[in-house]
Amino acid sequence: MGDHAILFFNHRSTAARMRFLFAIVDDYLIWILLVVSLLGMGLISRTFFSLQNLVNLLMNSTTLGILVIAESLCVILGKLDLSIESTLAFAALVGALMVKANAPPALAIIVVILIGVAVGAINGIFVVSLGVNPFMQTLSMNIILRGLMFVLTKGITVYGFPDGYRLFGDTSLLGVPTPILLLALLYALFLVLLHKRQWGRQMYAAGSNPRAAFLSGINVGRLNVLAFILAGALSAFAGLVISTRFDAVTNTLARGQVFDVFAAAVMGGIALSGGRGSLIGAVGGVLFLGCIASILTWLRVSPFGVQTVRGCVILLAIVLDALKNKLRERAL
Amino acid sequence: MNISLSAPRMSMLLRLADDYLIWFLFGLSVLVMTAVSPSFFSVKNLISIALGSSVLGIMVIAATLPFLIGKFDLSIESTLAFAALIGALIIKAGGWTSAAFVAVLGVGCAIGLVNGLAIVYLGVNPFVQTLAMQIIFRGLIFLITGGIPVYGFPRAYRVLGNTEIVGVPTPIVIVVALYVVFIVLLARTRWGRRLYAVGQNSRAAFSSGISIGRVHLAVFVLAGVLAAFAGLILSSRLDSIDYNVGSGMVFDVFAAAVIGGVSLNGGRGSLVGAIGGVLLLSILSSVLTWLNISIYWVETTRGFIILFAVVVDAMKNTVRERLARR
Repeated sequence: MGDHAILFFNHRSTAARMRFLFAIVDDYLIWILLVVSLLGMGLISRTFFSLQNLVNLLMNSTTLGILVIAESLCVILGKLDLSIESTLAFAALVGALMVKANAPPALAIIVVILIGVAVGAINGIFVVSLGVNPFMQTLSMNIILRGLMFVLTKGITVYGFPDGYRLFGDTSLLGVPTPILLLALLYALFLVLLHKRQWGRQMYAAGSNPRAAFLSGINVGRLNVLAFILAGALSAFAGLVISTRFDAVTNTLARGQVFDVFAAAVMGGIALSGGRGSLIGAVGGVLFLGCIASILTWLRVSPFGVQTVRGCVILLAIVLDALKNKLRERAL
Repeated sequence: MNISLSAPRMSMLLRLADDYLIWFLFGLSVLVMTAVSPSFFSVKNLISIALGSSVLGIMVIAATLPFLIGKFDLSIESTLAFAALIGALIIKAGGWTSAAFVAVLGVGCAIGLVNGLAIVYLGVNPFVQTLAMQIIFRGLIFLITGGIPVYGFPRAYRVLGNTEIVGVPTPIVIVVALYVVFIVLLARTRWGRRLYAVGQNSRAAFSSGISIGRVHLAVFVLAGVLAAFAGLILSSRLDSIDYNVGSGMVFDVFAAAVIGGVSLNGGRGSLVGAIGGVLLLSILSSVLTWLNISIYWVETTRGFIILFAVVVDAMKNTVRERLARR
């Protein structure tokens, strides 16, 4: 922030200064919201900032965090993937059934990821080659997979997995729970891929102007298929982590979570129209939602009220985001 | 007789298939069902199918209006439930029937207005705006009822859902009337043409003097009012309102509209197709019940039907584009 302050005074004209200040707010709005809400909570309750509480906050954000990467890849290309929540649950269920049938854990883990890849490939190929609307394609995939879970389990929860299978969800490394490490690792990986590699620049190009990207030699179709495949694989992996952490797969696992995912991504500045936004903002959105959730628990808000408050917070955040966009357009 | 298909004839055939594909599918499923089981098409069964699809039918109008201008409204399912709940609470507290009706429609109007204003004046993305409203109002329903259903309404309140007009259940009469009104509005009035113009090319529509903001506001307010009205009919037909009534319904609604040829990108499709989509979905779901499909398979089968329909729709579009290029 110190550098920013110096730079701020380097600008001569007020307009330039305003524009500069605005750029900071623009890029870091979600983080400002996050800090404000954390500080507010700290004022209300001194004990809120225990290490355990913060670790819990991160742990509870892991599934959402991974799903947000999955969704962001599609959203950057201007596509929506509604099926990630069911991919997560269905892949986790198949893995769980396999280890319960005494399959080797390694094989089950591979199958889980492959299911994610397969679902993503079907979505991607239908959307790209047949030209099916991605919203409807992934919506029907969502319904089909959730229905298949019901067919497989008849509504019964599968639980009690062997230790080998629970590697990703229930261990810790140097005192840090594995899910948090995995989350950090995945964010680091995709941040590098999206911002420091040609692939990332192609993604943004294809998202902001597919026609121009196509004319400049980018294989937009292949990027789309790949994004859906990665989204499928990532959500299947999230399913592996969450199911082994809770040691159970229910039929309603992650049901409706895709809405939280959209909310986190959009609050983090990822534009649904494609081509804009970064995972740094998205992780801010994830933490903000997690923070709101733990504040609500901390304040003992009745479960009946939680959903309403969450909805209002999401609405507030997206209205702020929209206002920001309006101001940006005016400033330019 | 000249049987060779010349290019114009071919394209005319395709246009017919394009506009009425949904009705071909509908006729096909009717034929198959008649062959399999002649007793399926008793008047009683048909009326119960129509009655079962009346609420979906109204909701499809509410979803199609935003689709035509290229916008989503995900909040309609919560609007349906919340408005119906407010009406139910007023009537249970001894309020006038007319006051309850007005309140229901007023709630729908207010939610639509908030959506429209936020989208037009604040520039919020409609998908997220209506998603947030959906979550908020579902939460409010939960908060108000505490998860306990409200039931047992007086007779006068149930007039829209539970009566008959010359032997036809009132909800069916209402749906038919609404479709006639909106089909005429969309196809025969300047307002309808504006809607399509905004949906196809909002920039061009703006340049030719159409107030885009006003069209948006009208569409979202109408969607809210229609959804509230559907809630009124549903709750008075069932004589109860549950906290999760209409939950997830928006997906069926979208499916029906898309199957009926309404484009999610705006500017294309009609309510004539959309009602076909509603009927096809209803027929198929009653076929599933009729055939005694295991309950565990119903959801999956529904997903496959939607997928099939959107794939057919997509291929239709591909063919159309190829023809246009030729």
